[in-house]
Order: sequence, then structure tokens, then C-alpha cells
Amino acid sequence: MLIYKFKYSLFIIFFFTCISFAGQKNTDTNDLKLLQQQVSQLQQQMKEENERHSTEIKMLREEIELLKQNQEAAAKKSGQQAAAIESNMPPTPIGAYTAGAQNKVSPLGSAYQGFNPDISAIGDFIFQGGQIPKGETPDSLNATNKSRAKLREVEFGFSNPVDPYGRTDLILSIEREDDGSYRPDIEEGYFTYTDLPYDLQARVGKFYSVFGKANLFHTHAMPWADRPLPIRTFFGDEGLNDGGVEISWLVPNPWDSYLELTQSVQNNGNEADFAGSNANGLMYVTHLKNFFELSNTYTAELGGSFATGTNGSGNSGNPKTNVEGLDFTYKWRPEKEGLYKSVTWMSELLFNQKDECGEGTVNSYGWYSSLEYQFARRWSVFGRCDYTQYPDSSRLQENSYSAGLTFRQSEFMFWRLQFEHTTGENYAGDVDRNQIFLQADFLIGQHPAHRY
Amino acid sequence: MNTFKFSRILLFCCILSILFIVDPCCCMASNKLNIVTTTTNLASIAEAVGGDHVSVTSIGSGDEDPHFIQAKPSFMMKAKKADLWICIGMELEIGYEGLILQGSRNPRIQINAPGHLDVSEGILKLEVPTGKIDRSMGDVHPLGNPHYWLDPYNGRVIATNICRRLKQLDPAHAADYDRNLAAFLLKLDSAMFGEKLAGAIGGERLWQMQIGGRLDKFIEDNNQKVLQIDPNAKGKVLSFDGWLSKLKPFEHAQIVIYHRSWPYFFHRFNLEDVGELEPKPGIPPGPAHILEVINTMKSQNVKVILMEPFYNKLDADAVARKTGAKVVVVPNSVDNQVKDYIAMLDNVVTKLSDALK
Repeated sequence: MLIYKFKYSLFIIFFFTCISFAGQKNTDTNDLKLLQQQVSQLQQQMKEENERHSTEIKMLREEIELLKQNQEAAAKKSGQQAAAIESNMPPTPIGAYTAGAQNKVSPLGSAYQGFNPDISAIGDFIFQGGQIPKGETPDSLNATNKSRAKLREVEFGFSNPVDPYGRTDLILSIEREDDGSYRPDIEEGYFTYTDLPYDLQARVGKFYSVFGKANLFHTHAMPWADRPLPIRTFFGDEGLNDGGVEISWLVPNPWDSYLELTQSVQNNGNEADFAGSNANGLMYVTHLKNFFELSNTYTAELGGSFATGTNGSGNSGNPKTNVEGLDFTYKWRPEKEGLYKSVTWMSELLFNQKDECGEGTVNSYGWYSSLEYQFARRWSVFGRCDYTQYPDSSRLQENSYSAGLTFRQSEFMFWRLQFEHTTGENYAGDVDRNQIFLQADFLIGQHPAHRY
Repeated sequence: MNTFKFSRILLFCCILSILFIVDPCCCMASNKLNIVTTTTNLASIAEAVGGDHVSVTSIGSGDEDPHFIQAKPSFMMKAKKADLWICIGMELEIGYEGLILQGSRNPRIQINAPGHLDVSEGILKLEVPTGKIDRSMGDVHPLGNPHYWLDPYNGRVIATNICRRLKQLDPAHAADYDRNLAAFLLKLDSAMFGEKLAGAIGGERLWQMQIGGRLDKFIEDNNQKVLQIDPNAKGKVLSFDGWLSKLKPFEHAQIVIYHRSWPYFFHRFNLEDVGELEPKPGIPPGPAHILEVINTMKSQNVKVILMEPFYNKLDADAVARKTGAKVVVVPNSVDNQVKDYIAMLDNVVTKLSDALK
């Protein structure tokens, strides 16, 4: 019986031991699989990490290589410059436009440069042939000079923001006088408040009055070699330009079109139509500009101007001059071919009322119309018709017809050939003259973009 | 005196009421962010990232040369109402941006204001001048070649920059902007690498490997491993698709271009620019230079001239006649034919790969 019990116990022990061993083996197999999975995941992660590091190392190596190349180029360049100075030869620019470079411009350098204003210098060279009017006094109007070539003007421009409230533009010019000397002048110099509320903007300083279109052009920005006859007659060669203040407002309107109202108060120092340098009065100029974008290709601009101030026609009373102007500009510029084709048609009409001491008011008017057609990337032709009466005598009048060709060598230089025929009568008698202009303008530096 | 005061107040009220009558727009505020971009590519990306929360306008139409957009006063009116102005930067817009911003009288979008975004921050730049530059070199850009949107990697950076700024200006919809950005990036990455690859590996990793030049090896190693484990698992191997696969057969192909707009595109797809029809940036081709280009193309057996539609095709056609090359004209901006940024790049890839065949 005891033996039977002992055998039975042995059997039970053996049975449970087998079961427990079998369970153990099962657990080990699962653990092993889990471990294998973990190892393989780790291997994958390590591989990915390695790849990432290799990529980063490769990128860093490329950057180091580029930096080395740049350093070498700079060293080579300074060496060349030193050698060039020794041999009085100009250095050759190298590495200025390195293909494939992925480095950044030194932020410190940019920061320093950021405080410098944009500076530009523009030369305006002109050759005048034919019968060139000698002077502006009534006696010398029809006297003629010999053909001459001259650097008519050099213009220096400086512009940059001054502070968070606005920016400054200074345009200094050196102009050639009739006697051959050069006279420095401040063509414009003003501060513009750019952060005024209610869509307002203000200027203070010396500037061209916003009257029509042609009065605003700087010499190098004109589409012709000279200003139109009525502008020269009513406002003089220097245009309507003086010290003062100006405020302009973008007028809200239901069509959401550009409608700008400008009002300026300036010294009335204009010699041609206002009081001139002896005056102590003011000139008020109002301008309303409407701009319509008819399509992406066509635009039209319609403007109205009014200027009023005392004039220098007498010592007694308060003789006034009023000038009203209408301007119209139409532009066509196809989008795809805009680099090669465009048309600009610009016209202005001016009415002038000038109180003459003891002679009542003289009413006179003038107009011009100009058409420019760009027929190739660098070439355009233009024609202009001018008519003007004289502000002191509507009996005297002149007509001129101009035609010309402009070659834009690059964005920064152009050549222009213009022929002008003028007839009529002025203070000195009958006028019948032909003139030819050959103009070359060249720009260096950073010049602010011109208005549309 | 009282009557005088009363009439002055009445006059003031009349003026105010006239202003409100003539400007009904000022009473109708929209709760969408108003975005104005300089180019249509930026408008397309901004629309994708901004989704329903933005209203986007571009001053450029995509048909014109983006260097020579003119500062029309009508653009100032668009900029006047903008909450965010987005530009390419790197002086691409130097001829008109300043005039438009100043003319807009909108303090929100002036340079350095939160509403002014130059998306060139953080992009991969090419052709940054390392020495003195001047205009004898043509119309070079001191900050580097500005046509960087033609590299799809930079398209990702542009979208990310726009998203970051939108979240800053409109934090209430930050989650939507993030979601839109992720969708745009996935679409762009799928177009670049193929949907399968972009889905399996993820755009970030793919770009890292592509930029590091390890993508080919990664795909090869991965596929070897898959086939080692299961030789019949050919369906599981990774393969290129999209733009990369279309242009891969033409790696190091030599191409002549009109203007240096394409270096970014060429850099990304390992193509080679062997010359330009412009002798220097911004200078139109002359006979002597054209002859030089013809000789180069003949000697190096160049078969494709790539250019944008806004340049005169006559010069390219003349060169093509002498060399037997094909002229490929493709827009580098979204226009009437290519409706969004990805479609624009797709059009370039398709037309160029067809011509190189």
C-alpha cells in the first residue's frame, strides 16, 4: 500500500514538473520573439539615426567647403588687389557671382549698410544743335546760341527712412548755366510722414508742386529731352517748385478706385507766373488724381489741378495769378509682352489768369499732347505737339512739334534723339526755329523707383 | 453765436455722413484675413495654407516678368486694405514694392510690421555674391538669385513661413492653419517623391535624405532588405514616382536658358545649365553672344532651350534652328493655364522631361 502511494506521489510530481517545464519553454519562446523584435527595432532606429547624422554631416561638410572656398576667394582677391595697387592696374573682380553658393550674407554687414541711405548719381548729357534760344529775357528770346554739347545736370539722390514716422528724400542737382558755370541747387528735399491716420500723408520741405504730370518729372525721368512748351512758359525751366508743406488724402469712394486729393502751401517764388524771389506771399496748389485700372493691360488717369498766389506784376494792390490744369494719361502695356511693347498717351491743358498791374486780367492757355510707343525691348518712338500763349499777353503764342527716338541701353542708361520745330510769335518777334537734341542719361547707385 | 456753432456742427455731421455714404466698404468688415501677395505663386500657397480663413489677392497676374511689375495706384488700393503683405524678397520687388507700400498708407504692412512677410527667411539660397558686385555684371541681385520658388523644397519653406505668420496674426485658427499646411506639404511631397514613398517614409525624412544625397542608397538598401526577407514581396519595394522619377533619367542633362531663373530648379533635379541667351542678367541677347551660345550648344550637343513666355521667343527660335534644339516655353508662375503652385512645377517637369526624351 505504501509502495503504491509512493509511486502515485512520484507520478503526480513528475506530471506537474513536466507541465511546469512545458510552460516555462512556452514563455521563453515568447520572450525571445519579443527581444528579437526589440533588437530589430533598435537596429532600425540606429540605422535611421546614422542616416540622419550622415546627412547632417554631409551638409555641414558642404557648408565648411563653401566657407573655405569663399575665404580663399577673398584672400586671393585681396592679394590681387595688393598686386594691382603695386602695378597700378585695376583689379579683376572674382567670385562675385558664385554659382551653387548656399551661404548667407553676413547679417552684421547688412545691418550696418541698413543705416546708410540709398544713394544715386545721375548724369544728364545733352547736345543741342540748330537755333537754340539764348536766354529768357524778352530781348534775347530769339537770339541763338551755337550748337553745343554739355553736361546739363548732375543729380544726386539720398533717401531712407528717418524714424518710425517717415522718410526723407534729398535731391541735389548741379546745373550748367548759360555762361558755362555750374550752379549747385537743392532740387527737392523733404520729409514724408508715412504713418498718419485716416489715409493721410504729409510732406514738409522743398518739392515739386503736385500740379498735372509734366511738372513732376525730374530731368532724367522725362520721356522727352525738354519740358513741354506750356509748362516752360507758365512755370519756367525749373517748374513749380518751392518750400512748403503738403497734405494728401486717399478719398474713400464706392468704386474703390484710387482718388487722391493733395493740398500744398508753398512759397510763391516762381518767377514765370507768380511773385518770384522778392515775394513774401504764399502759393496754394490743389490736385485731384483719379486712377482707373480698366483691365490688367489698360489704365487711365484723370487729374485736375489749381494753383493760386500773388504775382510780381506791380508794387501796389494784390495782383493774383490763378492756374487751372487738366491732365489725362492713358497707358497700354500687354502683360505677356510688356517688356517689349507699350503705349503712353499723355496730355495736359492749362488755363492761366494773371492780374497785370493797370491792365486787368490776362487770360491765356496752353496744352500739349504726347504719344510714346515702345516697339522693342529697348526702343521707343515718340511725338509731341505743344501750344502755348504767354501769361502776360495772350496775343503772343507759340506752337512746337517734336518727334524722337529713345534707346534704353539698360535699365540704368538711355540715349535719346529729338527733333523740335517751333513757330509763332513771342516778345522779340516771329519765331521759326528748328532744334535737335541728343541726350544721354546714366545712373549709378540705388535710385528710388519712379511713380507710375 | 449759438446759431454759428450749430451750423458748424451741422456741417461737420454732413461731411461725416457723406464719407460714410461714399465708402460703404468701411462699414462692412470681413472676418477673413486679407492677404495681398506680389506674385501668383505666393497667392496660391497662401490660399492653400490659409484656407477659408483668408482672402488672397496677387498684384502680379503671373503672365508678366515679376521683376518689372509696375507700381499702379490700383495696387496701392489693394495694399491699403491688406492685413498681410507677402513678398518674395531678395530684392525681386525692388522696383515697385516700396512705392506700393508707401502709397497704400497702411501701417499694418510696412516693412518690419507683423503684416509684412518676406518669405525668403530660411530658404536654401543660391548664387549669393561673395565678392564686390557692380552693374557691369548686369542686373545681379546682391542678396542672391531670387527665383527660389522654383525649388519645391523652398516651396515647403514658403508655406511654413506663411503658416507661422498666419498663426501669429490669427491665433484663433492656428489649428486649421497647421492642418492646411500639413495637407499642402503632403501634396507637394507626393508630387515630388510619389504618393507611396511620401506616405511610407514621410516628407521630412525624404527631403533630408534628398538634400544629403542619400535617398537613392536608402531606397536601394531598403528594397534589398525587403527582398532578402521575402523574394516574392516585390509589391513591398519602395520606388520613386512623381517629379523625381520623371526627371531622374535626365540627370546631368545640359540645357540652355534665357534668364537665370532656373538654377534652383536645376539644382534640385541635377540638371545642368550650360549658358543663357542673355549675355548678362537683364541684358537682351546680341548677335555675338547668340553665336557664342550656338557654338557652345553644338560642341556640347545641347538639345533644349528653356524659357518663360514673357521673353521674346525669336532669339530662342533662331538658336534652335541652328542647333536642332527644342524650345520649351513654360511659365514660372501660376497663370491662366497652371492653376496652382504644384501644377506650375508639374507643368515644368512634364514639358521639360518630354523635351529631353
